[in-house]
Amino acid sequence: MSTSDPPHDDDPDGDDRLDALLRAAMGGPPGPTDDAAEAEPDDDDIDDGLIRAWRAGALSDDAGAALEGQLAASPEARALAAASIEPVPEPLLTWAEQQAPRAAAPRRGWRPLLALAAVALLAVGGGLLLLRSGVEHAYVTSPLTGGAATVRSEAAVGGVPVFRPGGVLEVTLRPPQAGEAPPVAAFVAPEGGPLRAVAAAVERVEGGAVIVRAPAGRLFGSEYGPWRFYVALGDPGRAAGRIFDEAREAGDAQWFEYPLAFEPTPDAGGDP
Amino acid sequence: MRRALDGHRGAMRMLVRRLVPVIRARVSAYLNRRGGRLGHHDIDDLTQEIWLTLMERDGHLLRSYDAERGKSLEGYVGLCCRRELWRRNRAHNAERRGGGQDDAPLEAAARTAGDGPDPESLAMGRDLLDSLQDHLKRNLAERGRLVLAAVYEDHRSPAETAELMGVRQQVVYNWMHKIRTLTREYLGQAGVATP
Repeated sequence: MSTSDPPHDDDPDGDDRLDALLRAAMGGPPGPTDDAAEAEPDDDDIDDGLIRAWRAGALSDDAGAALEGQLAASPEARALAAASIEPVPEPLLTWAEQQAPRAAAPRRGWRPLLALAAVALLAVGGGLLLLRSGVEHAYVTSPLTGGAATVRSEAAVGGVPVFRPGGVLEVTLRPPQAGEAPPVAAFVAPEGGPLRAVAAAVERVEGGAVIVRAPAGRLFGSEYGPWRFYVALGDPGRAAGRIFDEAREAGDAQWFEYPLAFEPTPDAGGDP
Repeated sequence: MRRALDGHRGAMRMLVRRLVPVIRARVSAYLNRRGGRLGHHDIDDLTQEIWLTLMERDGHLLRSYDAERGKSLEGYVGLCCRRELWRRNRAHNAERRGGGQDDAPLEAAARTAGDGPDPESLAMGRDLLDSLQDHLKRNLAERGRLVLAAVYEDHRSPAETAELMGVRQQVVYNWMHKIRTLTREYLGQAGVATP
């Protein structure tokens, strides 16, 4: 048995029969909710923010255990936790950004944006965000990866790659035609927070492409949770300390944005 | 949040990326337990409608958020969303009843037909199965109880359970091993031959 195999008892058939017995003991999955019996939700409903923090490993042991107990007791809460992993279509987010609180004009759904989004995604060759062209030629980016021989982005949570302290962020930016690469700057920001300038290794490839690498542990320290990694080609101006949207308006750079989750390295083995 | 509602584009962008996933997850979880649709609306339709509800009256609902009441902003929006879904579902059911449609979903009938107990558990008796469930819940930590519920009640695979919990599969396998061990011990003490 390799170290990644699950521990099991001597008799795998016995495990299967025990599992069948356990499923019978637990009563099976809940059927569709009886709408007639559904009570109006009250303030005790599970906190969505706690689920997010729990999955990111940001809760204390006690708070995490309390939430796990709540999830164990409630099929609906488990369904919510499972749904929280599903990625959100980018066009839906773009549409929501356009719905200002006071807007009175007729509102259309986001689906007409799909065609435009598909073109944009093709243009960036991997589903990442090309934000503004402040340089002469627009670059395109590879997806954010963890590097070939290092800890790669190990899973997708909410549609973003997950990095652990040993991982290395890596992106390759290519120009549409050969030329000299512009200056490169890298930043990180917590969700909704100000940009921090970070040191990243920049490898310039013949033809104007650049490869940007940065160790996740050095970028984020022990601050686990959702982050964004940014690469600016050109002059980003005084971007550090600003909210991203302000920074991109102020400078003269082509910006690339990469959402990610930074999580602690799990203990080998597991709990029991 | 107030900057976003007052028209700051960057702040709105961040608010959307923080809250729309919460709304969509709420809608998805709600619909998944009700056959995937509510009337003619699917997940993204309802997500849009609830976002527009939050934007109504100058974002009145969002501006009413009070962190002092103990919930995170995401938790508050999740609760608003859940109440809106409950309200819409109730209205939809009332409309269906008015139209004389059958309330019993086809999926429920299919599930009932396919969920017969297996022969081994029938032989063991419901009382013993119930007391086994109690025993496991009493003797497992919260995380173990979550694995018990996710794997054996919801019938999620170990991979799905690990993703749900944000842990490696090995953690789930280890808890399953612990659950089986406790089960064998309990059945042995009860004088039941263990598989």
